[in-house]
Amino acid sequence: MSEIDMAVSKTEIMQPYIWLQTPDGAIKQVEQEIAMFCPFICQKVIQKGTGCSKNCAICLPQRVTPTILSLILDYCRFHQVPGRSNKERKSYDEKFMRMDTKQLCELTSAADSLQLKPLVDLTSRTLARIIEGKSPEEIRCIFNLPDDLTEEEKLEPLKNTTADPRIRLLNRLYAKKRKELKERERLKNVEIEVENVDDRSVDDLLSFINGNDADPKEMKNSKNKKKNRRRKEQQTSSSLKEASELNNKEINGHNIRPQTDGANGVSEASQSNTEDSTFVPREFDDGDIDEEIDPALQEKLDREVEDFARILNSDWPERMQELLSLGQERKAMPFTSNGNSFLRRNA
Amino acid sequence: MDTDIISSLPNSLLCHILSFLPTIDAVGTSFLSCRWRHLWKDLQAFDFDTQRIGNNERFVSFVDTVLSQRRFSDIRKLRLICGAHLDSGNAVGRWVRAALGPCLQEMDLLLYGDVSSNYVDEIFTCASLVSLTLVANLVLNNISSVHLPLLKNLSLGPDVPVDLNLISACPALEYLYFIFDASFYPNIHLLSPSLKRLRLIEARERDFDDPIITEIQIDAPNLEYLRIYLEESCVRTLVISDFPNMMEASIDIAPKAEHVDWVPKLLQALSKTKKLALGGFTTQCLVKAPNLHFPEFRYLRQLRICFRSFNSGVLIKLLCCCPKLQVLKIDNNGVQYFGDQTPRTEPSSWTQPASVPNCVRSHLNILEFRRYPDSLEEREFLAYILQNALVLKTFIIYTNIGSFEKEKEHILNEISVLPRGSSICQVEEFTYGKWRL
Repeated sequence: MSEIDMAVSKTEIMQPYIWLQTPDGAIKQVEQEIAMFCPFICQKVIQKGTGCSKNCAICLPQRVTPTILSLILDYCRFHQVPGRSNKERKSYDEKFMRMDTKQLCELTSAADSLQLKPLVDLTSRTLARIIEGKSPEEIRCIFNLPDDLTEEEKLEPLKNTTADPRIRLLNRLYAKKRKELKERERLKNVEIEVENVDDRSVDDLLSFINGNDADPKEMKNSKNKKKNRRRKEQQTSSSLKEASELNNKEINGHNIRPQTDGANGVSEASQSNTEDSTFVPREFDDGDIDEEIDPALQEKLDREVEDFARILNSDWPERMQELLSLGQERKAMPFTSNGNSFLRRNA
Repeated sequence: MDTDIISSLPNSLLCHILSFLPTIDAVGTSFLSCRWRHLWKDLQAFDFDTQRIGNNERFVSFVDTVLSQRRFSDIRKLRLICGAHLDSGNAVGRWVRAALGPCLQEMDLLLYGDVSSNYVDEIFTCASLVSLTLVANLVLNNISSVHLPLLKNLSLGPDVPVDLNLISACPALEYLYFIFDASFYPNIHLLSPSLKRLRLIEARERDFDDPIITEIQIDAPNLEYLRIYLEESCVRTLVISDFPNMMEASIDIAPKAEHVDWVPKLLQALSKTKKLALGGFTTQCLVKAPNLHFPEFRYLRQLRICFRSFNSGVLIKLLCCCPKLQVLKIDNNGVQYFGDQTPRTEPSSWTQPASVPNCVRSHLNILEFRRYPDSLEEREFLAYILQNALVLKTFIIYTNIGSFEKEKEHILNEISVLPRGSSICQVEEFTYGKWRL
C-alpha cells in the first residue's frame, strides 16, 4: 500500500462508526467494531475505503434486508466481545436461533453473502437439525418445497456403478422387497394411508441408492426353491396377519428398535420372532434368488429391510452421546468391562 | 402465499447444510424436489452409522453406493460408526482409504469389535487432519509413525496403543481426550505446549490386579481445562507443570496411599483455576493427607466438592483458601440409610472456625447441598454458613430420593429456623435423583 493509502486507512480505523446501505436504499450507522466482525464489511473498509461516511456507505449484498441486518448486527455485537466464555456463547446462540424457518433461511443467505462463517455454520446446523429424521413430506411442508418430482422419477433409481456382487444381490432383494411392500399396502385400511406415503418413498430410497439391477444371470438353488414353494402356500393368511401387525408397529414406530438391546432383549426379541415366523414373501420369482445367501440370513435380511423402512420414519434417540460429543464438557463415560473391545454393542 | 425460501440458497450453501446431517438423511433429501435430487452428491462430508441402517450388509451397500456416486473425489470429513466384523470384506479399509487424502480434515472412527487393520498407519500420517477420533480395538497394531502437523483435536479409545511421545509431538494439538487402559501405559508423559484441553480417563477392561503407573507427567503450561479420572490404577508419582491459564479442573482420583502423596501437588498446579470439581475419592485423599496444605485458590469462583463422608474440617480449611468463591456445591455421597428416621448420632467433629472464611462472608452467592443427610455435623456446618453468608442469594438443598416426606419436612423445618445472615437468601428444595428443571 502507498503511504497515502495507509494514512487513509489509519484515519478510518480511528473512526468509531461505519455506514451501511441496505438494498432498499436505507442507510444505517453502526459502531465500527461491531460491523468489522463481518469479513465482507471489513474488506470493503480496508480495501476500498468505503463506509467512513454517510455519502460513501457500503452497499450490502441483495440478501441483507434491514430486518436481517439488525439480527446480524445483534449477533456480531454479542460475539465480538472477547471475554465471553464458550458456555455463554452457546447459550446465546441457542436463544438466537429461535425464529421461524423462513427467517432462518434468509439469515443463512445473508450471513453467507457477508462471509460471516460462524453464523453460516450456526444457521446451517439449525436447518440441518430441522431436516434430520423427517420424511420428505414433512420437509416439503416445512420449507414449502414444490413436489415436482414425477412419479416415475421417484421410482426410478440411479444406476449403481459398483460391480460388487453382494450389492447386486441386495439390489435384487430390495426390488423384491419393494414389490412386497407395495402389495401389503393395498391391504391396509384407509386411515393408515397417510403414513404409507412415507413408506413408499422410503422403499424408493432403498432401491434408489442401490440401483435396480435386474440381472438375468442367476444361479438357481434347488434347496431354496423347495423352501420357497412351501412358503408360497402359506402366503395369504399370514400376509394379511402380518400386514396388520405391521400397521400396529408403524403407529408405534417410535418404540421399536431393530437391534435387540441386551437389557430389553426379551420383549423385543419375542416381537421380532413372531414377525419372523409369520412373515413370508408374497410373490416369488425363483429365478431371483442367488444361492450365496442362505435361507436363514435371507429371512433375517427381509425382516431387517422392513425394519429399515420403519427406522427411516421414526425418531431416533441419540445414542453414543458420550463418545460423539467429545468436544463438549462431559463426565467420564460409564464403561462396561466385558470382553476385549471397548464398546460392547448390544447387537 | 408462502414461498420456498430455502431453494433460493445457492447449491454450495444447501450442500453445506446437508453436510451437518447424517448421510442417510442427506441422501434422503433427493426425494424432496427436482432441485434437491442430486444435491447430496456434492457432499464431501459423510456420517455413516450402522444403527440408522441396522443390517451390516445393507450398510456396506449403502456406504459403497454413496461413496461411488459422489461428485468430488476429495472427502473432507468421514465419520464411521460400525462393527469391525464388517471388515471381512475389507470394507472399512476401503472407505478409510477413499477418505484419506490431502483434503481430509476430520476423521471419526468408532469401530466396535476387534479390528485388524492395515490402514491405521496411513491415518496417523495423513498430514491434513485437524480432528481425529479413533476408538477401536487396535491392540495388534503398532503405530510407528505419527505425522499430524495440523491436528488440533485428538480422541483415542483405550485399545489404541500409541506412543504418547508421538502424540505430544503434534505441534498444533489443542484438545486431547485420552482414554487409556493402564495396563498398556506404565508411564504417561504428555508434553505439549499447545494443549489447551486435556481429558485423561482411565478405562478398566481387564480384571487383572490393579495396574501400577509409575509416573504421570503432564507438561502443558497453556492448559485451560483438565479432567482426570483414575478409577483404580495406582499412580506412583506425578510430575506436573504449573497451569497459569487454568479455567476449569475436575479431578476424580482413586483413594490410594500413593495418591495421597501427590494430590496436594496437583492442587498447587491448579491453583489458578476458576472452577474446580473434586470427586468423592479425591476428597478422601485430601482427608487422609497428613498436614494438608492447600494452595491459595485466588481466582476460584466455583467449587464442587464431593464427600464420601462429610468432613467439615477439610471443607472449612479449603474455604479459607478460596477468597473469592461465589458458588459452593456440596455432594454427600456417603452411605445413606433409607427409611432410617433417626438422625445419625455419631459425634460431630464440627469445630467452630476461629474466623469466618472471607468468601463466606463477602462472596458466597449460591450454596448447593446434594443428598443432605441431616446429621449433626452437616447441620452445624450449614447453620454456620447460613448465619455468616451475608450475600447468599440462593440455597438449594437436594434431599435424598429415598427419604420419606416426613424426613424431608423435618429437614426443611430445621433449616428454615436457622438464622440467616443474608436477608435476600432464598431456599429451594429438590429431590436428588430427579432432573431439576
